[in-house]
Amino acid sequence: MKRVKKLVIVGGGTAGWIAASWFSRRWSNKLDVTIIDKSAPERVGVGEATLLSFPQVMQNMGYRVEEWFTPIDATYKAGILFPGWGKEDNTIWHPFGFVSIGEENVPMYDIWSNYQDQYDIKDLSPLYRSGRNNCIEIDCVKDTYAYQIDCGKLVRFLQNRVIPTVEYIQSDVTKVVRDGDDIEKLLLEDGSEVTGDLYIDCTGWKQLLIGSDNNIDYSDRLFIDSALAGRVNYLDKDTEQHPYTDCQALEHGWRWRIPTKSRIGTGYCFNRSITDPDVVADAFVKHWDNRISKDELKLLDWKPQRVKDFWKGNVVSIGLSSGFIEPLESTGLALMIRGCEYLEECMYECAYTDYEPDVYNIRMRCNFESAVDYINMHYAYSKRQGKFWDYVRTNWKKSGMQQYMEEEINDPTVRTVQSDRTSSFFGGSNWHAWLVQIMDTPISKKTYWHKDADDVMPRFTRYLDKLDISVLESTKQKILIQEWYGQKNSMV
Amino acid sequence: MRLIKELVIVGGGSAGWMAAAALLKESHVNITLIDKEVPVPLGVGEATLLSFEKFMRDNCGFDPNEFLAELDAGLKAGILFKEWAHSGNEIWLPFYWLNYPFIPEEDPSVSMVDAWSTAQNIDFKKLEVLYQCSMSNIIDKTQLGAGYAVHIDCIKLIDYIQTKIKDKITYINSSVEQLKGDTLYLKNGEKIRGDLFLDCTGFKSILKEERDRVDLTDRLYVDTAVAGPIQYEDKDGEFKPYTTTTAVDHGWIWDTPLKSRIGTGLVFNRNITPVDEAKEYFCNFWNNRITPDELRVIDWTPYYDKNQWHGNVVSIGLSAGFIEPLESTGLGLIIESIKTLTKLLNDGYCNQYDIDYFNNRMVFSYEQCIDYVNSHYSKSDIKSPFWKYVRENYKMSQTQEVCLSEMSSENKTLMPGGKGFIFGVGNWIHWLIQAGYHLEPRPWIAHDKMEESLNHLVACEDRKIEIGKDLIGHNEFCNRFL
Repeated sequence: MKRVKKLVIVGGGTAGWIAASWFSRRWSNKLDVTIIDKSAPERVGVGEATLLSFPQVMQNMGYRVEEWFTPIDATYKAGILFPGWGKEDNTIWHPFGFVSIGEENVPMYDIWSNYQDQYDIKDLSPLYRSGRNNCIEIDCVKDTYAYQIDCGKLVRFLQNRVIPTVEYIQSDVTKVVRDGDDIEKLLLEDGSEVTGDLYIDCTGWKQLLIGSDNNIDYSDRLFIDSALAGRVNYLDKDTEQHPYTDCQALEHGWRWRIPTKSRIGTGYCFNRSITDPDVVADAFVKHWDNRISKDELKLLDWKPQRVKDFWKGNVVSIGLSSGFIEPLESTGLALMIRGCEYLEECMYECAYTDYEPDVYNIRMRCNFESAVDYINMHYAYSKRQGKFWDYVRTNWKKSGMQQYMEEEINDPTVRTVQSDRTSSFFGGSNWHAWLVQIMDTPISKKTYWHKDADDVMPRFTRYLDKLDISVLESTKQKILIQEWYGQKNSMV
Repeated sequence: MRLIKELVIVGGGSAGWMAAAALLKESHVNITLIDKEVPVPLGVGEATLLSFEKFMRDNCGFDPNEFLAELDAGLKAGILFKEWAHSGNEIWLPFYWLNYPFIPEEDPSVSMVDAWSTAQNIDFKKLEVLYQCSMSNIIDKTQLGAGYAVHIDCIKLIDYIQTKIKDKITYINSSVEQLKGDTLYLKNGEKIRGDLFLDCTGFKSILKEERDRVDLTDRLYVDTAVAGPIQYEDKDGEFKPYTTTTAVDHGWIWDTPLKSRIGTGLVFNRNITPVDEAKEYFCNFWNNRITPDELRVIDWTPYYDKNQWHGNVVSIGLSAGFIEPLESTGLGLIIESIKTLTKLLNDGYCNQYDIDYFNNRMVFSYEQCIDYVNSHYSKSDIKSPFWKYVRENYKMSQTQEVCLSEMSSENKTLMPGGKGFIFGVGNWIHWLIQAGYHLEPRPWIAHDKMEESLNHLVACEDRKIEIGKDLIGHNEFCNRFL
């Protein structure tokens, strides 16, 4: 068993400050936290959309929503809209809330399988119709909305609150002195040394501490390795500031559109070995009707990969240093948070046994693998034209998980599994929602509840009625945003 | 990746039936339980940890009011260790710990351990949860839930679960010939196909072919028990709301009072003490209230398997490993493995990550338990061949070293309990202090009135018993409510 009294975090990007905040806020009286970073960080900051867990995570660090909502430019996020995936005229809605009906908990999508011709599944999905009207269903604000935020502002928010409680060293690490898998000490620019009991590598793609010679390549399952990212000012807030993230499939890949409070974060994801960044840049500028110019775009490129061992010796990698999938479905920020959560569990008493790194590694591996399978599924059944999509069609392979979920969906006699896995990223309900919208043949009509539940259909009808009312009674996001930021501010 | 629709449990002991009950509630698999024609459950474990009641309620969906009445239950506020570490010593381990209450509200809490460090001539036990009440066989009704586990009769547990779920699963009475691929061949000629098999067949572990065994004989010192029931003579005096374990020449004796009888046994090392000598010693200890021919002999080799989930077979219970009866780790580890498995199977399939996760989680759990049980043998002064053997062969764990170095610093003691039922630093420090290891006084909490304030707490406890509000005798409590 090893005692951890001092935690040394190297790297001051999103991951570094989240880790520093996590451990210094939650465990301030149990361990000392040091964060080493040269200066104002060069943030990668692709991720600006968050998952449903975000408010809880902030709460776990002791930040109330009243405290963080406005400083990080937050807006609401009811789900993600995926126009153009599969087919050009197809649109997929990935909601945060999932509904099941009756005592038997029949998933709503299972009932819908009997009415595929009658209803567009999106219209039945929670928060969709109100979201498309730029409205919020106030009763659901606490539980089923996530937030779209400015990641740079989040980092500053955390920095301001964390710096007084941690040792913040502004320097580069010039040398890492190792003893086998363990780090013995770090040498800094001024020649001084830093030692700790456990080191967290938040140096991003540099992988300064964890090392870059043990990465597992994902390029056989993932198709994107570059993005051009920028910001666009609002022309018409009433329509453009929608309470959802919009990820549209395009000729060279896909683009995100994340309307935060003061601007729209946007980027075009593509594969640089198939499309020249310059070609993408031109297409992107055109896509935005010249509202963004080529020289404002920042090129991000990466290898889709993860480290083999997330925790090795006395080094844990969190954030991009542990790997990166791609921007779709906002896995980056969420995986960082997972890393912090699992690490905290492993160091439960500020001590860990020899077995703990294995447990951590298995859990993180499972998170990455299941997230990769889920992202990979988004590229299934594509009929889109263009070099990029040809490449996808040639190289795409169906994952075992997708095979399993499709069989579940197409078996009329079983309830489609909805549960979250112990260490997985997306649960059965997420798979279910996406697959019924991307699969290119009609799905089987489910009948399994007929024999033992007669309350399902009346409840389904009531659900539909209630949905209509919720949509009718929903409130414009604009009004809520005005309440948060003040009238004047929101006009600017 | 494998779909799990048909789950076959082999073995009808507590492990098998508890697994069946939890998986029935939490997953969507079809369950078949196969038990040999004439079941002989081992049933050593009669003490439980806090996790038991919660497991039965939350994971199996049983009603505590109902099952506690059926299981011959008595309450357990903790464990009293007599004669451990040094002669005349008594150690009290309750289920949770108190903070020192006389701290201004804005300050972070201080544990009773740190407060006591500066006033060590006060009897530490008396500052601990439920010690005083328990020694008078009194139940504090306000502590039900948080402070009490139960003693139960494991045979009755099996009967109870069986009655509750037998109709909802396929139950087959037959011995098992062999497992070939995904088919289990039974002695009665039936063939059972399964997607996953749970091996709950005890030490024999008949399903799993390859066993990656870790031998624990170098870290654990006992391997045999003689056990039997004893009838009450003085129920008000003997029906204690806690487990007693007493260190004796040959090893140690447990005493777990149930509602209708006392479960008791002597644990020893059969290489040092012949079984007959152990039986005689044990009967003498109980003033011949039990005779040698009423005693059952249970022997084992302390071990666990690293590959508790191997291919399509998961070992649960004794087939996965056994430490020794001390600290009731047997039932605790069964619950841990069933809960872990249930969570992994709740979506109907499993893959290599599930298998790796399960095995690592269980290795971790076993190792924690082994180290903690091992620490109980780290100090002794009984002059007998057994304890001499222990002293000569004792190997201190790394965990104990870390805890001892915590105690010798002046820092605030971090005192969380363990993860799940597993023993945490808090448990360790409570044992080590009472075993006589040095706790460095924490100067930052020292003040003139410390001793006075702690004595006041002890006096309050005495006064509480005098007044009797919210208190009730253990015997009366069980008669009325269980």
